[in-house]
Amino acid sequence: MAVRAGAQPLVVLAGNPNAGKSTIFNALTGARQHVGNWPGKTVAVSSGTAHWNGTSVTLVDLPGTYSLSAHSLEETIARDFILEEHPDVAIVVADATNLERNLYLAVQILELGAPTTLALNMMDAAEADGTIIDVDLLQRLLGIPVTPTVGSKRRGLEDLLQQAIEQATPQPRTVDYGQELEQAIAALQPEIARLIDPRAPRYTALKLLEGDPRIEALCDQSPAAVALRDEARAAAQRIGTIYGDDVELLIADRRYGYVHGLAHQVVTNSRSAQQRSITDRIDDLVAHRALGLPIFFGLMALVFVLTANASAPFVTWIDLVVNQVLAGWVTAVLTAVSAPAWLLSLLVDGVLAGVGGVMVFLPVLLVLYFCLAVLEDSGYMARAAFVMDRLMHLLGLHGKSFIPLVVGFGCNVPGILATRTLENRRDRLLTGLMVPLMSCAARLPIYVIFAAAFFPGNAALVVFGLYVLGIALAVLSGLLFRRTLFAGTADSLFVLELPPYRMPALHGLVTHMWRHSEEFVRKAATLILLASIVVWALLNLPVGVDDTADSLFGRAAGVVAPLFAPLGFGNWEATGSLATGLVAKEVVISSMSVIYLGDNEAPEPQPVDVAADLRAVVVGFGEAVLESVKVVISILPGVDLVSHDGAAGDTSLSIALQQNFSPASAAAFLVFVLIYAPCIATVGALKSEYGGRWAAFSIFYLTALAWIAGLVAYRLALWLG
Amino acid sequence: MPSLTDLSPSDHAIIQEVRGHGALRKRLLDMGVIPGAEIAVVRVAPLGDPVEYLVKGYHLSLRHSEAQQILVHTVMAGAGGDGTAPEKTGRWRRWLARRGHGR
Repeated sequence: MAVRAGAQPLVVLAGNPNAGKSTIFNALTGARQHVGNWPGKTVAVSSGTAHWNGTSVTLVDLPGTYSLSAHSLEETIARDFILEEHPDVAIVVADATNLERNLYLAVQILELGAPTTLALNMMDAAEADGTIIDVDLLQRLLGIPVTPTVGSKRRGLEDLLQQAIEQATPQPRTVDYGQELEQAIAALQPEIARLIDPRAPRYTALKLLEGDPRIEALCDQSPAAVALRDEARAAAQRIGTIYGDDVELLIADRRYGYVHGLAHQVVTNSRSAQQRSITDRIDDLVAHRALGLPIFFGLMALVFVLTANASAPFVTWIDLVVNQVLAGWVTAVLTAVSAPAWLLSLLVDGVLAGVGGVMVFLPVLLVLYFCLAVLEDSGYMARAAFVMDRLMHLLGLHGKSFIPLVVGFGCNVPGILATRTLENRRDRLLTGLMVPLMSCAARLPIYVIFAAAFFPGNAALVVFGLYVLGIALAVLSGLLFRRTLFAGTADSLFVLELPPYRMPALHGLVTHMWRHSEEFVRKAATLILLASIVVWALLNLPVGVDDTADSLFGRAAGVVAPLFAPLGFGNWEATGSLATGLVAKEVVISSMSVIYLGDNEAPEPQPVDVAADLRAVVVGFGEAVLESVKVVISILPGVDLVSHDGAAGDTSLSIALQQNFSPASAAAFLVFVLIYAPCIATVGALKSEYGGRWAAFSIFYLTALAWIAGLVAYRLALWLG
Repeated sequence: MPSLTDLSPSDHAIIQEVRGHGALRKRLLDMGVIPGAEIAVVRVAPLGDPVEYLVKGYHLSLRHSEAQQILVHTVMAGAGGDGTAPEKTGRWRRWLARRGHGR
């Protein structure tokens, strides 16, 4: 991704976490956005295009930060992006309900020397709190344009963009750090501009005086710079002795003193401070000592039920559209033009069966991402970390680590990407190695089909048990890694803001849901389509092959199969399906459909009635909506609108599976599927986040663990009968 | 000097010193936990750790080990004085909080 598209001005959005930065970004860019890698760095930044009055600008959403030190990855990214890409304008998004701490970041961004404007966001919430902010005065005091905005209601965004595009060279005021520090800064600046960074000498001088390890490392390049660093250290020492405090504290103190003064001048609060906010009252409940954990687990269970049940009617509907209506039409058209049988087989058995089997799974993802977005945008995720930290800390992890793990249940890829919210590499890596054991939604169809075929009475229990097994193995692996790979490393900081609860904006939720699900559809359309066709081809080559076992696929899988004999499924069909699952886990099922059912007689061409089909499609969708609404309502205690008699009958695949697996080997297969090497996309995420060696480690560790656990499961199942 | 961990829910204090070094101290300073700032205890997490505080007008949660680095002064026991307000169940909560801290 080229961050700077042609001559378009580059505008970055910076701000505290929870200041509503992403809401503004989504509102300004709409659907014209994508997440891509910042060139040369393995760091993803969201970028998009915004338009104002015929001008297009490239907008980049930087990670939320409280400061610009180098103590966390987010802060480093935000700082380096501004310093290295030198954007035309930086928009600092500040939460108007917490002006002081938000201005603390704003004055640091001003020190970086980039042209800056300030968005005073969430003005409606500030007004509701009884806070009145004198915007004109703030503008004069800061020396930069200030625009009041309400991101969630799209208020003030036009003005913000106009200010950003049209603003004259701003005259930002700077913080006065006191005589001693200012003298030291003045002494260092010229040499810094010459040797280290000509654009932000004041900022760099401050960081050198603070002893910022990253800036100090920049000085290693030349002896002159080393001398400069020593000079800064000596100055810091001298100032420290004068004030009896270290420079780090002095700078923070002066800066907070400055923004406190600013806030004091521009903010008037009419409301009595005694009033308890809604946030306080909600937290009394959700962070309650006795109720906090039950509420947390209840919410997680709710997300789960919604994901599984509310999407089910749509799954049925998509199945109808792809596998019956579309397959019927393709068959009819190809038969009418007398196309060769192999083409019909390729399209129906390869393409439609493969992609259709994946598409049915889209509704599950939409619901899951929607639920996670609600938890995130409302502010509950921080409470989840607050409530869970003690437990996660037992693994040496941050309460926030729980979030990537939960996200991992949807798809491991965003789960691994979500580890970026953790501050130190050890935590990111440790969590990232645990994520693949979170049973992602792609593995669910495999469980469901096997559980229904082999354990019809206890299907739900079996599926639930697999999830629990995944969690247990993740915990054990976490403990193991902590004692071995990461022995002797310090635990990370907790230090977490609990932001006020906000009503999530529907637009933001939908954008979030779509962006993640769309990624999946793209994957389904390209990667998985390719995999389906390759598998189909391998199954049907060499030309004229009759028995699938004699095909290229069967022969290759047959070579590996004996490895799985101790687990009870040492046949080429199971092994081959597992191999295709490396492309994406859901492919296991589509491969099995192709392998077990693909050699059926081609379906008799049915007379096609397009009108009736379309009617069935539309009516089916309406029924799915209705059914889904019923499911959601039925979650309320005491309401039961869903008929329970309609358990899905045995599909043809279930029957084929029952002929090829025993209950014990099915159990071993499920355990193996839960654990074995992650799909290509997840491996890609592991590699980009932690490097190729860790990705390789993850593959080997998980596959070995899967084999052992599968063996145990098989023996245990045989023993239990 | 007492540290933050010696306070109970709805107690108020003035920060005197932020000890420790490196990332933790820098992060605390950046988030407004600086000497002279007022801080109040809001609530203790269900499992006794971490604890939620009110500082600079926003809610911050810190682990026991982190709060220990922050030395405080002027304990205004449970009197309220800003957004946290007196707890109706102050005694009960304080008892629970003590149990949480008694490690």
